[in-house]
Amino acid sequence: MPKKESKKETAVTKNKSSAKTGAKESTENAESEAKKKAQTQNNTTEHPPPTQISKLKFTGPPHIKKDKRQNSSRFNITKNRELQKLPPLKDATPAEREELFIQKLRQCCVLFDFVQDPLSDLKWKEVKRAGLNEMVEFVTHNRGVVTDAIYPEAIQMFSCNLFRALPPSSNPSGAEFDPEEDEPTLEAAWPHLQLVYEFFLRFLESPDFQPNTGKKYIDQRFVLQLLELFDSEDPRERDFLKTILHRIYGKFLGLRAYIRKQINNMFYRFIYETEHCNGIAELLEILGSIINGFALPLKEEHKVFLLKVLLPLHKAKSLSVYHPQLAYCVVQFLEKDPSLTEPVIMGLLKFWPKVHSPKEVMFLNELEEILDVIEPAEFNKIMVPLFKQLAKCVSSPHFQVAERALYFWNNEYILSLISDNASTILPIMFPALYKSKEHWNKTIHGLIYNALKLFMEMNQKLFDDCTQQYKTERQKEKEKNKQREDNWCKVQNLAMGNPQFKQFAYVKSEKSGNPGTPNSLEDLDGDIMANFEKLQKEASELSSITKKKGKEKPLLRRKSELPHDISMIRALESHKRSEEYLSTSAESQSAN
Amino acid sequence: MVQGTIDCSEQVIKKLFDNIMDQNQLSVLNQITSRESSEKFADLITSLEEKLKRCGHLKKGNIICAQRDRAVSTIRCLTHFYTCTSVTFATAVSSLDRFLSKVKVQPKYYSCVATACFYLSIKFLDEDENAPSATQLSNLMQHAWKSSDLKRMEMVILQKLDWNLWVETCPSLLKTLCDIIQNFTTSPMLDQLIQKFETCINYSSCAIYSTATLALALIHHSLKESNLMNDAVRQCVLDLHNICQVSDAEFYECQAAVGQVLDNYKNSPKTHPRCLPTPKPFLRPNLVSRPSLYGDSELPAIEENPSLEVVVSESESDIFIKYVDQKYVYGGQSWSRCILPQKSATCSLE
Repeated sequence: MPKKESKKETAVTKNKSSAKTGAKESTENAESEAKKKAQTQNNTTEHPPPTQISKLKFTGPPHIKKDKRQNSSRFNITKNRELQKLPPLKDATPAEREELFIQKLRQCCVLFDFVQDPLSDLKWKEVKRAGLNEMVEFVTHNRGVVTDAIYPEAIQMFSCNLFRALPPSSNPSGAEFDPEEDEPTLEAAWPHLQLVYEFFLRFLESPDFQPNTGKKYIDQRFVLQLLELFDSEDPRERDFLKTILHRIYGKFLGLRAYIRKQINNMFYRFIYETEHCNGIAELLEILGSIINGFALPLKEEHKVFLLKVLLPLHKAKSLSVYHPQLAYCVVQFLEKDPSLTEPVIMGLLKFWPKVHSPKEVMFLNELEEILDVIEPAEFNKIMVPLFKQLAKCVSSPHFQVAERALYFWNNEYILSLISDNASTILPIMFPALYKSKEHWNKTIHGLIYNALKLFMEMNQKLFDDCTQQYKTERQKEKEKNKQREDNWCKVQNLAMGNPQFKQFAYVKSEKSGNPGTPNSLEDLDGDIMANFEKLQKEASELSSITKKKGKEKPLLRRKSELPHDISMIRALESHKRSEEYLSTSAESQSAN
Repeated sequence: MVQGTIDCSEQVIKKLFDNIMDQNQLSVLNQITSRESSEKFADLITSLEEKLKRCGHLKKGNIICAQRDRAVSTIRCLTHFYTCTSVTFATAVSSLDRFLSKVKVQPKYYSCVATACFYLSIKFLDEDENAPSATQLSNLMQHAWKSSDLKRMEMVILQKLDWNLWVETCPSLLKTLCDIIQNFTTSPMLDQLIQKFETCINYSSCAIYSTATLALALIHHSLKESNLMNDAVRQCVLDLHNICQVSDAEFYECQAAVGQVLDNYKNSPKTHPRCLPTPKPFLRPNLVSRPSLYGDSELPAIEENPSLEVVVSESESDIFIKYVDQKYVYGGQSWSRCILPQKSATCSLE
């Protein structure tokens, strides 16, 4: 029956939007569905059932069990999951040990379900878990156990357990994602996966591990699949992945370039295509350790990486998730090669956020760190554009941005750089500081005083000159505005002289002059009373004109007079409401 | 006239001067009587004399100290910050000087004293809207002292000065003097004079002189600088010396000091006295952070070993970067050559 189908679909959509999953919920939903079904059957049908409107692209077969959110796309659970407990490794003779090890490894390739039915196969899950645990201990504490035969088995076990399609993300991505509030969806099969990761890590770190043997199995395809797992939402998994990839990078020299290239590709995809990847921070941590080990002089490839990958990473909306790691990488680069400072700072200025204030604060934090390690020669190259941006930040309407920018004056090293170049910097900063002198926020008020005082002490004469210049410029501006106003008044007067004036008269709101900066009171002093009178006049004029206009023919047509799309009308009619069988106005209209 | 005589004692010179002045005063006035502005001129002279009576007097020698200069710098900074007139500034400095000449102040109270002088001056002379509150001022000084301290200091200063804040200051004197000189020549720019005054008063070497002396010295300096010193002007200035009762010795000392200060200011502005020290502003830990400190992972650095890395051939086509990486191991070092296409080679970041 179509009614029941649509009910189930709405139930399905509801469930799809809920973030939490769990066995309890499934039973609850099943109950609620049963209730709803009962309800529909109770209502007697008077209207013929309307055609469905499906908000879904396809309906699929109706089924009672709804689509739950998967947090582990474990579709491929092993068919035969029965595991026999094998004897412990420590009891085996050295000759048998390898064979037993391989058997246990193969046993651990059996996959269990932790999502749909977490309580299934408990006994066998325990066998696998114990086996994994034992193998971890075995590899950690014994020498000579990682033999050539083990490599393919271990890697196979790792691959089949871990290389899987990750479930779609339940958290909002981009700027809406708040790392402090949005909880990550954890991996359901973690009890086993944790041990698999642990085992593989010990395996890699074992003193018996031979990269030459390992490279037959740990190849580019393996690395690629490993990298794809970085998108997991479970931070514990990402942490393991980070360490494993770090070790692989360290041991397999032949894979290094490939790994770097693939990481670059992931970053590019993130920046320019999806803006969604959970593992950017971990990848940047690995890159931090790689950057630390760069040989000097830096290769061109690495410089390109800095300018084409690391800098554009600052663009993304979710910068807050990985900013510490990114800043670390950038600063490390600059410590390796100070000549990169100019392109880096120019890049930062290019990507400077225009409306996202928390991001602006992050940029300022990073900028201060870069300036902490900058060389005076490099500083001279970038100081003009840098301080132009700082001037904008200081006069920002967002007080945190202004405050953070003003804290730069607390930094001794930056102050010494500024005072060495005061003649260039002071004329740039002065207007911004002087304008914000009457700031409402007392912290910023104090900080601006502090900044001006420091400037005054650096070069008294220059300060006085700047003050003079500022005053004359303001004076000129005022005169210009007055001139403009006069000109407009002249035009107005001329127009009033024209006999056709009354026909085309609009209510022209007389501009009361340039209101000036948000914080300056001086301009408004003389005009406040005049403005008030003008406002009153304006208001009375407007009210008289709107009364007139009401009688005139309106220029716009009302939307209900425009012709509608007939399919849309029909679609709206069939919309299911909470009170099902009320007749709507749309229905009665279409009946006519 | 003065340089030639051997006996340079004050009285002798004054006598000589007075004799000549009696003769010349009439001549100066005669020059003016024919003009229409003779009445105005007479008014100016009378107003000048009145102002002179109201000038503050300092006990010499008490206020020469570096702290005082720094305090004046602080007052100046505050004046700029609240956009006050130079009269406010001069009154504040004058109150400060008179107070310091009467009371010995410990260094730690200097900032409170300076701010209190400024506070009194601005309340007394400036618009109410401009005046800051005591809490605001305390906030500016990073709470080195409280607003209640400031108010108490105000009372102390007022008592010591016998509530006599209304003293005539240099800028107003300068204005009158300029108006007088205007009759003889293009007057020196008042703004420049006031600027110079503000610079000079910052140094106690100039501040020990009386208001009139300083004013005349500044005018002299200004006229010399702009080459406006002709005979008529010189005569007028000498007349003014007499009216203001400025002794020559003092005048010449002052002139020397002013000249030195202004030279210093032009040539090495960094030697200008700094403001009084204030505590550093407190940084909010939530706002200010060192992101790279948190970004440092515990992963150990992986040394790059270019000579052992294998050549990578491009297997995928990369939209943004296509490069062929060729490494040549040459005498133990590795040289890498990167051939980048046009697009990414010019890393143009404007």
